[in-house]
Amino acid sequence: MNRTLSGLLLIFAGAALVLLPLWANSGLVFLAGTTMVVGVFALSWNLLFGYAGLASFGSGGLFSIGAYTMAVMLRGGFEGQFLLLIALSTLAGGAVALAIGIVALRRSTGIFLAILTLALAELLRITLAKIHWVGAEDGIPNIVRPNFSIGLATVDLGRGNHYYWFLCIACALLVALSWWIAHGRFGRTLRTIRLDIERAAFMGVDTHRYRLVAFTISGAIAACAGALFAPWAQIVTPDIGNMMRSTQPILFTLLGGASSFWGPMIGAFLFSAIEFSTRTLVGIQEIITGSILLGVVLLFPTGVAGAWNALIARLTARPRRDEATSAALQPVKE
Amino acid sequence: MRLNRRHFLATSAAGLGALAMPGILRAQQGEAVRIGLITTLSGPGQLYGNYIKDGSEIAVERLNAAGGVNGAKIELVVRDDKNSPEGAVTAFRELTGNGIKLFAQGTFTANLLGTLPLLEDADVTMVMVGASALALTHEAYNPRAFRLGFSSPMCFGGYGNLMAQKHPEIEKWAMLRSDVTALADITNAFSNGLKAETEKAGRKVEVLDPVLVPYGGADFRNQISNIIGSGAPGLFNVLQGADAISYYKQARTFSLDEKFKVLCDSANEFAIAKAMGANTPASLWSWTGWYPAANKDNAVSDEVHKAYIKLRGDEYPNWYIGVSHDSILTIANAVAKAGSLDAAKLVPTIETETPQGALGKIHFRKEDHAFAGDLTYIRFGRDDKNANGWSVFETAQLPGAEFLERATPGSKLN
Repeated sequence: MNRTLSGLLLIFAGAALVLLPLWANSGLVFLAGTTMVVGVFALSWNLLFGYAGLASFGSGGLFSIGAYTMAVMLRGGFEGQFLLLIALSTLAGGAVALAIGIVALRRSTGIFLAILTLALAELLRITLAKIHWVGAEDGIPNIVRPNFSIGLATVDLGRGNHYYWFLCIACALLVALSWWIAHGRFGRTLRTIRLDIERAAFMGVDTHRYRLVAFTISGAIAACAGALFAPWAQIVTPDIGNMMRSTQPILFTLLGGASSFWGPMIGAFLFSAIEFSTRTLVGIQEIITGSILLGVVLLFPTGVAGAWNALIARLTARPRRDEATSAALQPVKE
Repeated sequence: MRLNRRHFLATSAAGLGALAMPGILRAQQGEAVRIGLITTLSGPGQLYGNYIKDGSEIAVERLNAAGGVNGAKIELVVRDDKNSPEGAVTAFRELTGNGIKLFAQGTFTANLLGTLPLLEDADVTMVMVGASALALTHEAYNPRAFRLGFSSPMCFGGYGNLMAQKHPEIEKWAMLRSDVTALADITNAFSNGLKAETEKAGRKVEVLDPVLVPYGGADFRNQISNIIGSGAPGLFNVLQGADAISYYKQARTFSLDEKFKVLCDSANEFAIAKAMGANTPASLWSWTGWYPAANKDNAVSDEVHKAYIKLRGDEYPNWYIGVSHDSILTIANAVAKAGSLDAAKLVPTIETETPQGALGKIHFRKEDHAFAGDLTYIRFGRDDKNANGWSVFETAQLPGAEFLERATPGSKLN
């Protein structure tokens, strides 16, 4: 029943998102598009944290690499190759993540890796703020939403809500890809490494290689999200990869639940909903948002998704005493 | 001409009432005229955003007390840009989705650059509050937007000009600035203004290369020693916020104000005196966007000043108060005169109208919509007789239009 209900909810949420521009205010549509992108970004972060057990505090830097690559190429007049540009931005993010991973993952994990990635992201932000070719602190404004051809068909993403629907499709594909990665053999091996790295190594798993690949895939998806975001916001600035951006996926994952694949996405939408509904409460908005987050983290240590799973499990099956294990140690739910 | 409150309000009301209002506004009579205000109300920029909100609310209160716009009340719809372009775009799209066509937005350039490309589709008219970046009236120029702010060439070119007039005896100037590229525009503008006025008078002046200090630094003693050793009797400081306070505190131990005949600060105005009290330098010039005491014959300025004191109990308001007040006033005046909310009618009205604001007559250069009002400079310093420990000694005003950079709407300056 849990899967059926969750599947129905997913279909309902997807349909609501696709149909949103038909009835909602353009501000809400923009916010929904932004939330989809940062939701995918958070999913990419949780591939590392929830599956590989690695915490990066610098994922904003990879998001920024994708966004800047896209912005620079569109400014250069390559809008006709938009799909190739997305692939190029994704590859750029993946390549940078691979290079960082090769250097960092053997030497540092835990808090050291977190601080190292944070420092690298800040270095990138400061460097971008000093390069006039990419607009220095003011960034690159007026980014076009491209018009490109696929075979005989021409797609004009600059018209009406076309780019929003393109985002729906692109984000759905990225979510599906992440799901496939997380729930396949690769994802299961990562979870084995997260739960007991020594045991995994004893069993013959090349733990470093798996973590490096996970780091690269996560970086590539983060950069892809950034590349999708640049034409959506129509401006990129160095702050697109600042510390706040890097903490976004952590916050969403805490809110939604790190133990669920959907947790970061749920967290992203909940967070946006809270922010949007409190937007007129100037001065106390942060207090309200912070209090809600604190409440959720204290009341539901496994996040909203974990609480939902627990509720459905309680409704559908008689709980057994021996299943009362610590919520924090629960593996990622299928 | 002396303009008092009664005169201003009566003139406005009569002028607005006499206009033959087009159908669109008649249809809206009695409904509120909504103005969206997008500013920074969270994060590090909220200090300025709060000033902008206060100034805008004072404007709305004053205008509504005088009858609003053609009988309709003004409603200010405030949104936080969360100090990011996407925050500004979300707020902009939400408000335009709700039918708002009039906007005032500040503070940060990048946030404005995020919303400017959206004005046309939403048929929006915007006043950019306090914005100084050249890009806004040059390469990113949008014919629907007006910059009620002061560009570097304007206010610091004027600053150099003023110092050349006030202190013709000084033939050598030193400069000190934070190691931030954007601040180089300020020292360049000051130097250009100083040289232009000095050469016009048939004299020569030497301006030394700026001594650089680290941005966000805490120890400026080496650089202070360098500028004292330069032998220049004039000094122009370009540091911002907390850096400036640390610098002036350390400079005090070097008796900086005794080593230089003239000390100039770029734009920290009363922030230094408020922070340092009786330890404020003996005499310090600064540019400001608005200082009520400098506008002695301006009833609007007096009223805004009184309203701010009533609101916050602070006798020395930040200049953003006056600028944001005048931004709302500009929009309201244009709606009243044009009798429409359409940008096609509002834009030419703002281009030609010169309403009386707190800053003086508010007018924009037609070619690029750059603010062309007056420039204000203040000299203040330590004063043991005042309970604050400091006083304002002197003010000066210059016509800003004379110092505006060349208009190049749509393309980069130079």
